[in-house]
Amino acid sequence: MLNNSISGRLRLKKLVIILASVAVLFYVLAPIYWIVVSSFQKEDALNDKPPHFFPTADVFTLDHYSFLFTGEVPEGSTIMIQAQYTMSGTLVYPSIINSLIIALAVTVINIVIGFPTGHIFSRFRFWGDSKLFGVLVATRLLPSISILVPMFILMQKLNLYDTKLGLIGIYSAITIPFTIWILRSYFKNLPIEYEEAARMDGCSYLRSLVKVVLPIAKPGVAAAAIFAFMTAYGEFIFATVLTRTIASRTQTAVLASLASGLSVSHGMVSAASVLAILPPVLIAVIFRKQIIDGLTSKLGAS
Amino acid sequence: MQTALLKEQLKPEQSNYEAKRFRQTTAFAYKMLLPSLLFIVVFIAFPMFYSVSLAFQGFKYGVPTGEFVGLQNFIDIFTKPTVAPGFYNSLGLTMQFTVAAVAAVIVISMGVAFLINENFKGNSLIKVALLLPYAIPGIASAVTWDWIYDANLGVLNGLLVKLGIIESYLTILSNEKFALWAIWFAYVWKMVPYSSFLLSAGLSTIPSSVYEAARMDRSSVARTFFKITLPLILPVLQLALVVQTIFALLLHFGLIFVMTGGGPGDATRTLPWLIYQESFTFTRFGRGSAMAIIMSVIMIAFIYIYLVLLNPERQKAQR
Repeated sequence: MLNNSISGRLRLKKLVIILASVAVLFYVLAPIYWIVVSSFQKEDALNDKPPHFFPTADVFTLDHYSFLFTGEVPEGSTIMIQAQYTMSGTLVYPSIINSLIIALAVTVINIVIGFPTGHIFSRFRFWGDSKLFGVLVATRLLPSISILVPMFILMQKLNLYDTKLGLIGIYSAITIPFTIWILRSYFKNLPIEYEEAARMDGCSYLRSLVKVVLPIAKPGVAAAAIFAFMTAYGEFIFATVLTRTIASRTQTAVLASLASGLSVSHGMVSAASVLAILPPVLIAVIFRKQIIDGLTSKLGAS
Repeated sequence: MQTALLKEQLKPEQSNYEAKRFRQTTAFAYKMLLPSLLFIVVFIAFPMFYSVSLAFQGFKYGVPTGEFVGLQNFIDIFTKPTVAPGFYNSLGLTMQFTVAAVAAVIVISMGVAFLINENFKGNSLIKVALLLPYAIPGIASAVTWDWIYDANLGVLNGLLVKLGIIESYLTILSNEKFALWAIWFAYVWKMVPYSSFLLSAGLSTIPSSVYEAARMDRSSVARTFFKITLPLILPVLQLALVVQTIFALLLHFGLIFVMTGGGPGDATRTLPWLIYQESFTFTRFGRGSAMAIIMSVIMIAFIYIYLVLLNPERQKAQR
């Protein structure tokens, strides 16, 4: 009797887990499935009603992607779509490159600058340390839209309007406090003995950071670097206001203007989205352990 | 506070030497902090003070006159609906959206967190799948949902017709009744993973013996959740609420930009969008800055409420 109810309970639990798993997978993956599938469909198939939920080989095409890379407009496009293709479609690929350059620069700055800063906050007691740390973390509470106007004016005064450098500066300032926050709590859980030994041996502070601390702190630094990259790659508000030409326009700004245009080749916009999604998704899948650790451990939570 | 602690520990004969060392450490620390502080002063602190000063200045043809007008910009916003149209509408929409988004994200994430904390085959697959909406840049997800919601060709309409729920295609994003909630749904989709991982971290700190004890006492599932689980994960829940509120107030901006542009009418003109329009469409920088300050105050109020209401003993919990 008792055994029965326990095994019944287990079976019920198993059923709930399976159903919940299916629901979560559908919820998370269905939109992604749709954008990927749309990007490989011929334009006239995308205009069909009802849509091809599970497209077959006869509507498959690589045209949208080949256009994004080569600028070749697919045959049989309407004039409106042709115009849109040549006007903004050709910007997609360069804008993704822009975003990658900006995000990588921000990541490097976060490691080079945020890493020592986080270490200082975790290991040293100095005048105003906890107050300063509080102020730094509090900058994360600031809505970016509240500094948008002054940033616009500032960037023009500094001659940084419509430059990658300007965005790199802003994104670094936005991400560094978070990097410091993550790394400070990460260093607190690391043993201090190695650093002390290195310092005893006459190793300079910076040298001990690179030679001793960095190797054991790699997972924490990796997590901080990935978060900085993701933030910089996906930022939109500053990017759309502070850039104008393809010299600095990011993928978020180009995609947004592409999608809010009047006539839209849904296939091409889908392909552009998939391309833009690809770098951060690859990073997320490759570094899934670091990211999940970063999000689930005390790292993100403390 | 830490300085006081340090002084307390010092013996009188040591204090001179220690104080000197403390000064040296301070000098060294600030030297090392200089680059970080430089970025933050130039790109955050300075613009912030500038923004505050703009909010108290008069403007003519979009150019600050430098004339100090006191609270005039704020008074205009609150009392002259003809001069600053739609502020109360935007405020209401923002509140609705924020409360609904935070509630949905937290509730769904709690469920997902329980799921990914279970040990079963396929658990890691679900975790990786959850990383995808998190990793996808906001605008790309906005474009995706814009296409899904499309009134003529959208897959959502196609699916609903196929399932027999609706008879013909509906307008979604250009329908006043649906637009904000369509944006809300897309927003929640993107934000659930982050909170799920955060909350699952909180759940995993609860020892299983606690649950076993609850089962022995024949405590119901709901009772166990509210009396045991929730109090134990309160600090993490609080963090999730704070973070999600900050996000919800602001990060739907990209969705509105791509999907509705504040429309139809002003059905999705939330505060960030209103600020953006005031500042960059109408170049009323002063009023835009004043609204941004109001938004910051709302954000701080939300956070204060969580911190006070949810955990009166937060000092104890932190240490």
